[in-house]
Amino acid sequence: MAGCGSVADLVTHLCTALIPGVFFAPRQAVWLALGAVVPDAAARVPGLALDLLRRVGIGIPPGVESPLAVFHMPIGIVLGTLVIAPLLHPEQRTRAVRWLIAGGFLHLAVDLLQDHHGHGYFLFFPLSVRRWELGWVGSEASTLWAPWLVGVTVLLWGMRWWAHRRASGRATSPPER
Amino acid sequence: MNDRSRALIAAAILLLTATLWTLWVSSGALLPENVAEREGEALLSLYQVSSLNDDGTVTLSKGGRTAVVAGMPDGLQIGEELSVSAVLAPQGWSATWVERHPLRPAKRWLGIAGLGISAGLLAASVRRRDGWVWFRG
Repeated sequence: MAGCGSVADLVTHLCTALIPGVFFAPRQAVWLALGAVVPDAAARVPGLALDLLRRVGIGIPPGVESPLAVFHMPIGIVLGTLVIAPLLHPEQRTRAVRWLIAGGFLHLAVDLLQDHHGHGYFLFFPLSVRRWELGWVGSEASTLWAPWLVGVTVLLWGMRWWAHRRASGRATSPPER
Repeated sequence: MNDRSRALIAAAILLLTATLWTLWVSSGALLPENVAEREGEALLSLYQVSSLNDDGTVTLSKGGRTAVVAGMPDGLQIGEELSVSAVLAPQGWSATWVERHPLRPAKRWLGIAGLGISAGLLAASVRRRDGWVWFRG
């Protein structure tokens, strides 16, 4: 795995993309949010699934999931997004690729805050095998703030939805006589 | 260069990077035994307690690998996740410090919930348009 296999949870990653998204880029927030989920979904989730199979006695050799770790590195985020780019509609492609990559980098930035006792993330592989982390918060700290982040995210997006609905209601209502 | 050629080049570099990573990992550079030999001490990060042995040692496992560690604290539960810094003595691993991770199950459930929400978000925001993937604004 990239780093020590410890990452912030996906709810936290979604919220850390959706909260700034509502202020700065509401129309692009879905790309930012999906980009923020992909590093774990591609690099970590298959490993966890294989671990579950190992626990029930299926003899899967250790390290089979190893190549997927590149999706939790900057090089894998950029190249992986470029690989799927031709599937996206040409009208949206450039913007979507940029925001998906931004989401991936936001994911790494959030993970880097955690402390893994020096077992951080391989940010510059294959140029360097040095591990990086800031170590400002514990590796399980996100479980304590995730419920608050979910509350703030739902509140902000709910307010936006309500304001948008109210504005479109005003625009379509017939003029008063 | 069009997007298709760019994607093919990206795929080739990605494959090369994944191969380099796999080669490097399979060289054993990250194996705790080799790290301990190199640096004197290794971190067994997020290992799970798989058995509490009669001789006082604890068997830890992660991703199909196991480590038998002496000098572990009392009160460990099977299935609990730990990070253990340990030195490799001739008789096996000996713990220098242990960090317990009681919130790992909660974190795992949040991960599963996040994956479900993401799948919902993807399903709600994506549709096909002219044969391509189109995201609703």
